Amino acid sequence: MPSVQDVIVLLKDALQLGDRAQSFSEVTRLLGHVPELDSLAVVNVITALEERFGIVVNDDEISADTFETVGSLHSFLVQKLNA
Amino acid sequence: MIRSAAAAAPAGRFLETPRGRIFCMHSPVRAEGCLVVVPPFADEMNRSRRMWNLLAAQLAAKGVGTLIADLYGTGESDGDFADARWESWCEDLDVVCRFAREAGTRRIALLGVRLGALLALDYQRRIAGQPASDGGIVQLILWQPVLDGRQNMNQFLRLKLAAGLRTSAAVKETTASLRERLARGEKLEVAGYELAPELLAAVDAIDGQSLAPTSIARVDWLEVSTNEARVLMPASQRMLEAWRAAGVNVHGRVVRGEAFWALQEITTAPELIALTRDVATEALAG
Repeated sequence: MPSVQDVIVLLKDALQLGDRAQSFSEVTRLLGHVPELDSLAVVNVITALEERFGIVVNDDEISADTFETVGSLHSFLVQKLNA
Repeated sequence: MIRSAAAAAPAGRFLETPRGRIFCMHSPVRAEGCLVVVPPFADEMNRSRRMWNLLAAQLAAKGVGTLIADLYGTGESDGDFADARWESWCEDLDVVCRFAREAGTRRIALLGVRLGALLALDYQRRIAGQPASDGGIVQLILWQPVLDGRQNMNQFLRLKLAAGLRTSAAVKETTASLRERLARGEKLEVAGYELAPELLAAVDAIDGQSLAPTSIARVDWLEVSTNEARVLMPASQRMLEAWRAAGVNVHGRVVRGEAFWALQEITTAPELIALTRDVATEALAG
């Protein structure tokens, strides 16, 4: 199973966060708090999740709740992989 | 010396296809071995251009040629994106490979980038029955290949949904509703590209599993990662295992680099260029 750190690395790459991602943890707030995470970036993060972990995300699963924190995004990924 | 420098400089020309002209850069003009770049979809092509231009310069220094064609309906080639069809892109590749052979190339490698990997796989399968005389395809190099056409098209369609995510509009578009609009004959522009329903349907229908390159001597599957652990993505590992089980001679490698095809800022992955130069030179240099 992917770790929280795997999700942080994915966010760092997709959003080009650089060293700022080093301070990220499970409780780091994402949507509305990380300026790079605009709507287009959300789409790019979903694409990166799908390609890296071989999951398929349905449109109705893309919600603000999923992108609330690093931890909520990680939980979403784990739940998709267990589905 | 001046003459050889001129011969090594990239030159552009138009090649004739049944639908119109496609623009092709090539360098050096004469080489026994040539790499043919198969570009990715829509904006990913623009973001990747610097990568293969740098690669072409490094290959030219090794005496290996590079051909970079804008597929019909893209870049400098004739036609609008709305006129682009998967079938005609396959024919474009055939025109480019024929042009290379007529210029004296005896060994061809295809470099498929992202969705271009599926196009390269589809093309090589179509010509697999043809006799492998001089100028045959000896190698397939894949850069971060797209494995599933339908999923890739959904990812593309989502770019159009991105604007809607900002607002909580009562009626929410989905990739399914966009597909319905296209099926009804509506024109649909996604990220500045007018997508033809025929092209969408063709890409939907392809995947890496059904296109295992069984008649190619060597396949190099190359990915970039910024993670310390240099391992292929889990989805890629599964596909590689399936290909190996089908008898494909495929080598997977991961080097340090950013996702240049996806990033807003033009970004390069020098280690991927160097590795590609080395594996292509090994297969193509005389």
